Amino acid sequence: MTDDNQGKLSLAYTSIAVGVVIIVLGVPLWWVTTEVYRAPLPYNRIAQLAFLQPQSVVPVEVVWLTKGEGVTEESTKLSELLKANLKSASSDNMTIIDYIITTRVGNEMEMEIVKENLIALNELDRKLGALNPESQGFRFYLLRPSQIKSPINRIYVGSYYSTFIVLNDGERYESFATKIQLVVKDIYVNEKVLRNTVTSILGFREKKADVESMRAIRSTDSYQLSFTLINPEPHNLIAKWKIADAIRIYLDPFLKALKDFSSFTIDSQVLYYSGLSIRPSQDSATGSYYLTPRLLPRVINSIESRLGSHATNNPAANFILYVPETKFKNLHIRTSKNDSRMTYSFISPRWGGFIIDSKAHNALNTSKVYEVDLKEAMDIFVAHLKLLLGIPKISMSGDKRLEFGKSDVGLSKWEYSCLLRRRTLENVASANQTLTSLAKLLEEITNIVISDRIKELINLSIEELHKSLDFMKSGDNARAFAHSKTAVTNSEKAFFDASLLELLYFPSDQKFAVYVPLFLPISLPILQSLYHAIRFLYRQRKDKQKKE
Amino acid sequence: MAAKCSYRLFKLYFIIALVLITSSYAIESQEQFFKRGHTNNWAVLVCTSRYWFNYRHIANTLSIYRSVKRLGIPDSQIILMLADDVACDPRNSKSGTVYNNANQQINVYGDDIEVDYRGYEVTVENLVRVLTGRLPDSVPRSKRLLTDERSNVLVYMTGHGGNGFLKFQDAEEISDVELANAFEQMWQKRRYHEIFFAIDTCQAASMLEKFYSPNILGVASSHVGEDSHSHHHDPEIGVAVIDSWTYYTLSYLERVKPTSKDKMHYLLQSFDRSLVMSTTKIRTDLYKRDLTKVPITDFFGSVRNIEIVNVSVSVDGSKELR
Repeated sequence: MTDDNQGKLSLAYTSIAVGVVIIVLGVPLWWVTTEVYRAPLPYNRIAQLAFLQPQSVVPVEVVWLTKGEGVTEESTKLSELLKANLKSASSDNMTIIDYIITTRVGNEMEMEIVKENLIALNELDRKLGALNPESQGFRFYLLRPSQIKSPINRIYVGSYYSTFIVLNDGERYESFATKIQLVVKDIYVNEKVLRNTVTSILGFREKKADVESMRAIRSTDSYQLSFTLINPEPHNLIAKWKIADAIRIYLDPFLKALKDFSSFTIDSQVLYYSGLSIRPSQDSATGSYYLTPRLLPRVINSIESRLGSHATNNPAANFILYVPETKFKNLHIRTSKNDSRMTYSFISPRWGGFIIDSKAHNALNTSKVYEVDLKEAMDIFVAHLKLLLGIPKISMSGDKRLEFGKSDVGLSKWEYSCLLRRRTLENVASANQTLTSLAKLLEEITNIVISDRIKELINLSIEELHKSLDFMKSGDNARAFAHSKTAVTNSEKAFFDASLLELLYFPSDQKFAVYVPLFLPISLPILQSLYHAIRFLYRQRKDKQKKE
Repeated sequence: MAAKCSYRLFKLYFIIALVLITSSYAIESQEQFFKRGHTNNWAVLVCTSRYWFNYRHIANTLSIYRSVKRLGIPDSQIILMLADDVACDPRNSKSGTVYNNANQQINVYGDDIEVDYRGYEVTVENLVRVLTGRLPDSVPRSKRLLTDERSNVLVYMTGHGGNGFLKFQDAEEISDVELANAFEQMWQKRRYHEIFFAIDTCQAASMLEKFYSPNILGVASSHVGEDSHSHHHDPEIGVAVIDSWTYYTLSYLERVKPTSKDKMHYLLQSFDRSLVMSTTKIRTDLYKRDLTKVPITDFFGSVRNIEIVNVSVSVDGSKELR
């Protein structure tokens, strides 16, 4: 009896020992080794990002260069009117632009410049622009016709941050207030485009395709520009281009002006024997050939596969110069049947620009060699590039009410600030959106590994985002942009980090299916014997108590 | 939290309303050529089978590859995942070729094929990495899906599947949930404008059911519980050369030209149950557009928007250089 009891007792102790080892050592060990490392993330701070209101401050200053009386009275009225009108259109809870309007009389230095006898407007623009190159606010100079050489009726938008309005005799403030408003609203700050850009990033779709928000390639650290000359019939005509020189002379100054915005890598190639796979239509009257807009997408299709793969992962813009086959006399683009304008170029949003060089056949000499006029081509390509980067179209296409000052580098200061403002808002929205969805994702899928690197990237991105917003509020475009760029780059690095996919995201039912055949056969006998052992010991103790 | 959400929603509606109001400006005549909501097209074509007896899956994928290429999507924007072993299999009597028809008219293996993920690179992990963009820095551009919020993506998959999964090369499988999550992550990062997801496998409809991200149009070759069948054998090759559903998709696509105005609706309605031998399942609840107005070329081609602009900017760097 005692022997039997002794055996049972040792069996119970063994069972308990095994059970304890499994529960105390095994289970925690399994838990720890299969646990996914998740660095703590600032979920609260990310959640608060949704309530941030990106707001860009635009200082607008109206300067009277006229030597007239009663300026002060008119001045206050003007400033009140402008304040009311500029803000009325944006009086909602999504104010992304805030205007600060000030009016003043020209200071000594400014008056000194105007005093010089009859200065031309572009000269005046240059001299006034040089006075305070650091200031990023927009200035409106009001002048009398007698003060300048060859006065114009239109509004002169200079190549710095200044606009010149020549006042007619007896013109009242209401009249030039509308002019100022026009320039601010439609040119300097295009609120509609800014809104569409931001909402498009947040994922809203409009019923209609919106050209302005779709045209520009997304904001990035570095762009790749590739130039291609297409020469389909080298046996009839050899097209040559000195692209390296042309880039140095006509493109580099422009890119240099953008050096704080982004970096650019450039490549070029000449493609022989690859023409369009479509046949252009022929005009019966003149015998010249034309392409209709419906065919233009196919023009891109037919050459796209030969453009080669790019060396970098950066977004690329393609610029194609196409010298047509000799049989296609004066090949051009016609927007409608009765369109008499000869158009030779087009762009495709987020893809690039295209020029048809139909002059080759007229200029052809006996040697069959044709030197491409790259000055003209580069002028068009630079304009295309400006559009693809998101610089407003208006300065290039022209408006009857306005005249634009020309800049040597092809980029006015105000255009640059416009670009920075748009891209800052875009970056901020994009970084915000990326961080929010990353946080949502990491919260939802609990077996994603979150390394410390990811945590650092996210924290840095949030810091930079806040800095950018602060600089936007103080009207410092350049710094706001720089910080927004770091914010968006880091948020994307975190989102696209390869380590986030170290484990596949299995749903829990699948995990169960893996563990059940593994653990069930082992754990059931152990748990069962543990139960029996404990019951045995318990009973024995009760028996003992009864005996006593 | 609910209050926060409704406030956010309100704010968003406000933005939409504003956008709608402000966008009612006069449209220039040239903008009539600018009507597509996307700016670029991409295709992800995945064949998840390998080995000789799965010849038809490789032929399926290569045929779709040829069609989208003919309709204008360049190789740089096609991610082709293919085991790519049958062309040079010793059992292939016509070495170096893959035919999708017993008539052997078109060698779909052709001479201009760019396979991005080949052989054992066709894995669930790689597919999910491609879709979500989480690739190591060393991966070249051609193996990446570099889409943005204006990209339409065609995703075509074929292989052996079951209820809720698709098998990858006898080694692993992708589940409906994983695929749906991958698409959601793409949406979260605005990596697509619209997705057209087509799948030819047994019980294919089960792969569509778990999708929850917006703007996905899904079509599957068979309902849950149904098998998808091959179309016909080639006695010379000795195995089936194409699957039924893909065969009828291709016979429709063959009639589509790059300039076609044909609509998705007609393609999706063209599947005849008695011919395909399985019931085609179409999932449209996530896709908000009217299918009778969506051109086939929005997914199977690359018709880019065009803007005709007469612009020119003079840059004079000669001064600076001197």
